[in-house]
Amino acid sequence: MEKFARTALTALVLGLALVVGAAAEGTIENLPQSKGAAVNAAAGEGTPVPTPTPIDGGMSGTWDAESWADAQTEEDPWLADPSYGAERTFTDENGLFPSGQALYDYWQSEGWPETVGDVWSADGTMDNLIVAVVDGDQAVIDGIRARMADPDCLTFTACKYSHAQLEQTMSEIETAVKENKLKCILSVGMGVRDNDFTVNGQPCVHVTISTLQPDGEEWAEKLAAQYGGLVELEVGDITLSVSMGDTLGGNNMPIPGGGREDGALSGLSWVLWAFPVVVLAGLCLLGLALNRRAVLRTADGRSVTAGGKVGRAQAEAMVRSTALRPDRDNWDAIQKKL
Amino acid sequence: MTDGELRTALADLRAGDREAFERLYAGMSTPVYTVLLRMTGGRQTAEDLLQETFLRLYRDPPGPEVRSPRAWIFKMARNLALDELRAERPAEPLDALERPAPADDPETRLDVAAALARLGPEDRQLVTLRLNGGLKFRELAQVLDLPLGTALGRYYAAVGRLRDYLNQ
Repeated sequence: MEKFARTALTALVLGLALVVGAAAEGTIENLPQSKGAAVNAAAGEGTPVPTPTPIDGGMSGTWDAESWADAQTEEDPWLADPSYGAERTFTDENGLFPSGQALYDYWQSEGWPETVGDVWSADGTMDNLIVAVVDGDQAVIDGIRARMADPDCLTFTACKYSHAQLEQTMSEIETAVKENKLKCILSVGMGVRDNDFTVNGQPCVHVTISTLQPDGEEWAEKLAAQYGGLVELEVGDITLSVSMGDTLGGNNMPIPGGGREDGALSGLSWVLWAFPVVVLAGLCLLGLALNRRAVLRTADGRSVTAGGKVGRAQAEAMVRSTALRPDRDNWDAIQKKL
Repeated sequence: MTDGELRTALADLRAGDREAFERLYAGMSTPVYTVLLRMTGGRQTAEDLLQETFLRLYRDPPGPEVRSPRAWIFKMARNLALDELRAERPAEPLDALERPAPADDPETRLDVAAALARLGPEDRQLVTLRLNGGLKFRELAQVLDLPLGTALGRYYAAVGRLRDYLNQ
């Protein structure tokens, strides 16, 4: 129940932010983070996020590990030029970032390096940030540390996917939702797998899918196949409940201030929470309706059939085709035991 | 065997139709045996468990209240296999998996067996229950006691690894 309520609330808040973001930008690229809120709420609010550089020239073609690898062969200007960004206000007089937050703000403002997955707070404050570096590349870590006035304020961990990959994935899923008018996908946002905001965390795109919609399972399957480890799917009989009055254990969102109403304040409190809830739900549904796209690409950041190799579907077919039939003796043995 | 055929056969079996049991065995023995074999890695063990599964199915077939009899059957088979594995009997070598099979390429069968053997036990279960058992993801999640999203994610990660192994 608690998990359900948390999910519903998350979905609702995301939906609202999605609509607000879309309205403000005329696009849906500047999505809020579904997790790592301490970092993102502090630094990302109102800050335009540059669109990641398209890897393969835009939305067409195959989007796979090779493409990403190719894209990353170009030298990252952030690492190549130590003075890159030094004239900005993000750095101190020595061209160094005075804090983790300054570094995060800089990346949010100027674009994320291809070599970084995400940044989140280790303890809910901006004083101890964890930076996820793609493949834990030590040269990248050294490069980042060299740009910090106090390198010890950062902890580094390895991750698989870059921030640009995750944003691209998120954008594609959002577009799929929009173009297919999907009601089953309740929210899409950047997150950390299993809400593990430690050095073991892995940045991912968190997608909440309701199987109460007829196509929920089908889309969950599609997204899992298409994006593999890039996405974390939360799938279930999830709904955006806005029913009122039953606050004692029904499938409702948690109501601020507790479930039971209190005497003379009950009428007022009802209005106080009911109105924003209804508005949020409406905006959320509107956001989902406006937010769709159908271009889905390769799974797990890899090419399915690159170089004539066995692809995912082929691998599945091979397993299916190699089913093993038991000897007839087994049937005879069962007959004897009956 | 389709879900409809399975339900019909089970209903007939509950009504005392012994021929329905033969239909059940004909339709379900290959997927159940394949799953058991891939879980336990041993031919003799898999055959014993197959017999036990069908004996239990005969004696106590799932009633109409069971939403997914296919998942029910595989859950029973899996539990039997897990009990067997917990007993820590030594698994037969990989080549014991290779035995007369439906018409397929022997080389492919070897490759698949080797690739599956490299997966972890849980991943192997996911893959074989889905692909050989024919379980839907919802059923897969039910059999493995996993949230649906987790089952989906793990399954595709496992298939990704399997594909990589097959490409090596």
